[in-house]
Amino acid sequence: MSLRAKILTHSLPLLPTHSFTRQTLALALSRLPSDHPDHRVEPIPDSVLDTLFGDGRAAPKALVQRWEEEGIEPMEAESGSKPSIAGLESRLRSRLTYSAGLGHYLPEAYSILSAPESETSIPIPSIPLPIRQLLRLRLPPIYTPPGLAAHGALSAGDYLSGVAGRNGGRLPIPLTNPIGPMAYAWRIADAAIRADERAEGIKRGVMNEPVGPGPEWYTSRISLALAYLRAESHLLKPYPDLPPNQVYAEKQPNPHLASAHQALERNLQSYRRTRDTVDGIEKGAGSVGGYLEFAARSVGGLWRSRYL
Amino acid sequence: MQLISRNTLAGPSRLLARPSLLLPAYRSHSSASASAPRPSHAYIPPIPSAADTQVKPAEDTRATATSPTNLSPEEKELIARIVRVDQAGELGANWIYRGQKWGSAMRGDSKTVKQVEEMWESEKHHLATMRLVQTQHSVRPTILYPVWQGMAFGLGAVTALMGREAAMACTEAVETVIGEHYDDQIRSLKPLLETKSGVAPHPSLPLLKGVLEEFRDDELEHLDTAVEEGAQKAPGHSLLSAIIGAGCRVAIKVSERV
Repeated sequence: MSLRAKILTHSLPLLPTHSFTRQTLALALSRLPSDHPDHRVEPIPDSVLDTLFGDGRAAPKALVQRWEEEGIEPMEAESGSKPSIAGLESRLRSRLTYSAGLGHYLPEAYSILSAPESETSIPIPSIPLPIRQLLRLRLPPIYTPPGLAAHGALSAGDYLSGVAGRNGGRLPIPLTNPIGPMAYAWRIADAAIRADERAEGIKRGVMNEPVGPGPEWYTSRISLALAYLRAESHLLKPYPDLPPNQVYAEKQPNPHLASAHQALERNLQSYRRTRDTVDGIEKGAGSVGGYLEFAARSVGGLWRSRYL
Repeated sequence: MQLISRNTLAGPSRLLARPSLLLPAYRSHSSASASAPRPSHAYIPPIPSAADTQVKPAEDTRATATSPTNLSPEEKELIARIVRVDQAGELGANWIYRGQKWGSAMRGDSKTVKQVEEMWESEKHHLATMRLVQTQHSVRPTILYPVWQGMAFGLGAVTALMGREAAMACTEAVETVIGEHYDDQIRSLKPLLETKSGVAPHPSLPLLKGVLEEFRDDELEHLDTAVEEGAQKAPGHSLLSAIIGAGCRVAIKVSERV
């Protein structure tokens, strides 16, 4: 295993206490038992982390990806003897319990998933001199609350100069990646359904022709991803307030896990009803098509025999 | 296996425009090789006959149940494209034959219906096998599944309603493009089958190559059948073949990505 992989793997037990931070990566090997072959006495220095993971958001993102892979592995290794909603629910419940293990750091995972791949910025255009002179005008504030000393107004030119100086002449545009959390839920739904697909084998149509995977491959995953995301959103709620003399333990399980499981059960029942409805419509369409073909062949036979 | 010369192989000569194309000298469905095990039987074993009482040892399921984990992202993408487009292609072939069967039945041509049904049976086996390969390698199927279903059925139905020769010309054009395409895929798989750093390739990869070779041979046999049944006597054969061939190539390019 490479050093990068070792650090990421040994960081996972520290996530409930240190969250998805560079400090977690730095302490990953030093927090191991001293007799562990990967144990290091000192935390990993920043220079090594920069070399292995890059700077900025790359390191927390790598940590989130490793955490996600660790959660999906048990689902991919499982292959049910018979596909069923109960098996699917069991896998997703286990996955919810795994997410709840992060405690109150789960929202940080979502924020990292929602972060854009790279920072977006536009260059601040060079402003002609007459306009720059105008922007340097300092106008007094329109209103000063009583009791507060009037402070010097900030000119627009000074503000733009400050922003340009801090960001290398570019204006940063804060964006989010809304697909990030949905892609995360999609990967979980995909892993959960795949175990059933392996056990299911091949579906056959009325002419013994193999059926699928058609649009239902995508629709089933999207539906299940949304059902899971709605259930896991319960884990993102703030913890209830405790009495003043009590605090939450360091590795306190998420108190909303039970409500998340109930939500998952309700969502999966809706998913099963929708799937059964779609299956019924498809079978009905197949029957209608078969009847129309029979009718068309009958009419064709009548037409061919009309002068006999 | 031997190199086939232009004179011995019926069908469009552009198939032989590539000097490195190697084709088997036998037909995979000939009586001499009917009992030989085929690579796709690893996924869908043949139905055992009543006389078959020999107990077979348990087979290694790694080749059919697991996927390689040591591939680079480019290699994974290559496998995904191969499986996706082949599954889409077999789906198209199934629905073309379904349309041809319907169109021939409308014309009252029971002989063509019977021939189309025979060719359709092998395409059903191909599609079922590709479904299992797609599940094994966790490949995303093409999102245009219903579009290909409708277009393929329409193509098969229209050419069958045009006449027996037109239906065979459609089969000839499609199987020509598919045969070339399978050959390109087999060539592109070769680097993945080499031993790297003393590690042998995952058993699913040689099996995938074997399956592609088997399916290529089957498609070329259908091509032979279509030519023998009068494909080249179809009215407007050149134009029909060109249009269908171009459409197949576009569908292949689109299915690899979408």
